[in-house]
Amino acid sequence: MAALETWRANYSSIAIASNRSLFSIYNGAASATTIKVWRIWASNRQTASVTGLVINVHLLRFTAAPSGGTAITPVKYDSGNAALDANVSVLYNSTITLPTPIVLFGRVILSTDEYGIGSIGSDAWGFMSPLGLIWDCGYGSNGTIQPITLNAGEGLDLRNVRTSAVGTYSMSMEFTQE
Amino acid sequence: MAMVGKAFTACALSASLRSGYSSNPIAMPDGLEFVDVLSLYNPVGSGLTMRIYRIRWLNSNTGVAVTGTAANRLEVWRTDAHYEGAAAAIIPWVWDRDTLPLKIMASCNASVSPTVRMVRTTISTDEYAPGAYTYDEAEIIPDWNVLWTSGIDNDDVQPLTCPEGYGVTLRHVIPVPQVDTPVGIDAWMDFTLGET
Repeated sequence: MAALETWRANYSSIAIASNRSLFSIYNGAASATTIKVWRIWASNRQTASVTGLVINVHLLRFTAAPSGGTAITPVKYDSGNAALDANVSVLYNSTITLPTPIVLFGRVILSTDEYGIGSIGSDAWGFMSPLGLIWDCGYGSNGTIQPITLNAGEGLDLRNVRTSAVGTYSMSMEFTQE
Repeated sequence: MAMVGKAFTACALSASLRSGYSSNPIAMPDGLEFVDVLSLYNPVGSGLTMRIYRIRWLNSNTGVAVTGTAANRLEVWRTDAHYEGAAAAIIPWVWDRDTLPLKIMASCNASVSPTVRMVRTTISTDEYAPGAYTYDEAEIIPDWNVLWTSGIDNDDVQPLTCPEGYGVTLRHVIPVPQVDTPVGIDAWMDFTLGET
């Protein structure tokens, strides 16, 4: 069986802010494809000295089209892949209206403190790529467990829900299109 | 997906992040320098498809005290051109059967043309010590320093796939002036070559 066409979206300048959408993917209502989100990574990029805070990143499903924000261009795993459906958008700091009640897949708590070469702590663990993995449901299950699946008109929002405006993060998302 | 074709590991041991190179480090306009530590390239006309399943590295600054620096990083880029460089060590997974086709290029310190960045991570260039445990000591634990893995344990996700005319490079990027790093890192890329 051939693998699905796979992409990774990376963004390395995610400024932490209160109730901000840090990273999102949206499969537009007119999309002819299904998006499956397999893995998500997060790592701290804060090198300048700051007094870090705890952030709480929620993984939330949404349905309303996002607006604004910074567009991120995903990269192909195979140079020969077809183009990503034009209705699929990956965004940083967009405005997203969440449904009521919220649909929460999970959450992760991260540090926004600066990391130091001569120290180790929760602010630095994410640099080891396997330890920065914050979501991989379904990835190694050989089809037993579904990944987060986004049909047309559905999206996934990674949102800081804490009142924090400190630090910079890098995030990366692996997804397929079929 | 199941691995396709013959499997190899390309290897760079104690690859210098700084000195001893004829063409690198190369100055970048934003005040950074880089070295392409380990690069693979599948040239046009090879008749092969190259698939990279895993890229891993370790800190090999052993026994030489250096003052490490923050804000330096390793990046994986897709490339579409590849020149020069020293031949990287190639380990066939079936030792007595397979050899790397001559047309496939596997190099340390190559000059490449990067197209898109696939992933990056921040590293410490400090030396590790057996009696300590900080950031640099964590960089010698193999399972924690897998920079890229895909297509191994999920049939739906592609490996990093390079048709003819494409390659991959592991690039070290550091601000200028950088620290003296007399010893560098070990790096490996696990890949296959198949006719489709």
